[in-house]
Amino acid sequence: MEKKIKVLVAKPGLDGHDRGAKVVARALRDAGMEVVYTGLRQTPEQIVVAAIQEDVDVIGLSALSGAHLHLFSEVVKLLKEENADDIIVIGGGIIPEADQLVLKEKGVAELFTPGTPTGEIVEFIKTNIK
Amino acid sequence: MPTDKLGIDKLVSGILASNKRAVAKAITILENDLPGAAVLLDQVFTKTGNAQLIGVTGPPGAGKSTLIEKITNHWLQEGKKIGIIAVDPSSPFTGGAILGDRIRMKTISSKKNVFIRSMATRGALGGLSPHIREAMQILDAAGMDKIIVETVGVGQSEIDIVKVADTVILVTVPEAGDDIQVIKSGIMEIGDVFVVNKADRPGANKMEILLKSMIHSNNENLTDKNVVKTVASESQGIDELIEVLDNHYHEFQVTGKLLKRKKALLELMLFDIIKNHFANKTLVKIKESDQFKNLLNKLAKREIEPYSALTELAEENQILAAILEGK
Repeated sequence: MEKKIKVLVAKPGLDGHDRGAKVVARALRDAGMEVVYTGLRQTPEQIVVAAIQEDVDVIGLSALSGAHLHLFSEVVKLLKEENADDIIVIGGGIIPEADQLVLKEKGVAELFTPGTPTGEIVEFIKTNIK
Repeated sequence: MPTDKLGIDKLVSGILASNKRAVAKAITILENDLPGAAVLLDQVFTKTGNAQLIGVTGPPGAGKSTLIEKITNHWLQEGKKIGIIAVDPSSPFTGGAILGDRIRMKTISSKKNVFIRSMATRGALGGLSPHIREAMQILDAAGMDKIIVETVGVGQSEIDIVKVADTVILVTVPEAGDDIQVIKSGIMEIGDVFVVNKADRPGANKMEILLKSMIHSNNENLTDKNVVKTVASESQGIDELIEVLDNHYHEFQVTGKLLKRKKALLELMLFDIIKNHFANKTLVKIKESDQFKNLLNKLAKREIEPYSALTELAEENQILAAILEGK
């Protein structure tokens, strides 16, 4: 049997704008993936614990608070510490280009900003997981 | 056996040492039927059988996840290790799923002695994942004291939870129905403990009475005490529920019912394994055989009757022949 793609969708930080995360979660579901949705106000620690126990292939992070630089890099760092950096991290939100470069350098695989067709995210996940 | 190539030995020692990454990876192997699954199960099997297996079932939105969070918190204070498997439905169209039970368990999800895994139904209709039993065995081998399985939100007849649990908690709400609903066959018959959650809403007392009277006429093994009112979101009634659960389990242990139940669960497991490995494969083999195709062609031309085809098929297969002869 082919392994199902499993994705954790989480919102680190304190903003309450979860519409985007839910839209992405549903798009991934409609593409046949299993999506663990952990909801609002998760710490990077909570996200990494959940990702490891759920044994996901991908973590999708959404932040609209402006704190993406800190929060996304923290998730990547904690995954490395847990020897779980085979899990791909992608992110979404209003993320300036300069910040995108910084985050990619730190190990975030890809960033999707407002206006991205959800099909692009699905395609990215399908081509990049091992 | 060259199991090391797949890293199964290492995984097994990780599981036995309660390493969460190893437990998670093992469940993935079993859930997806990846290479090494059977070896992995066999290697942990002798270390299983110690955990209390608790099923939590009930309609969508009744408060199953919230209730699990509260009873888990209680048991954590007693120093127990808790494994939780929460099942949500897969789409019949795309196979995708939103697994959203974890969101209700925020206060326990990062605790050291808790392991939570979400699973999808992947086409199974009984309210559970097809690989729930295997996942529970991994948690059992990893030293969990209690394994709590949350079914999908159920209707009247998704009752597979009885095939995997020592104790079944049926969570319902005050508006769940009248005296006819509670005497219907199916879901109401499988509870060991009944919870009327959201009991701060009108109708809770009536629901409680209905459940108690159902127990009286239905089940000589249970008493009034096995019906508990809770308001899980406010942590009300949790201590009472814990007491009922502990008493029920204690009674199960001292009367020997638990051993009987565990053996019955194993019988179901072995039977399922046989069914999956032999029965289904045998049927596929028969369907793919030339003889089957010939018989089908004859059948289409009305040259043979269906049951004569069966007899002919059995002539080449000893087991089928024995069944036909009524042995």
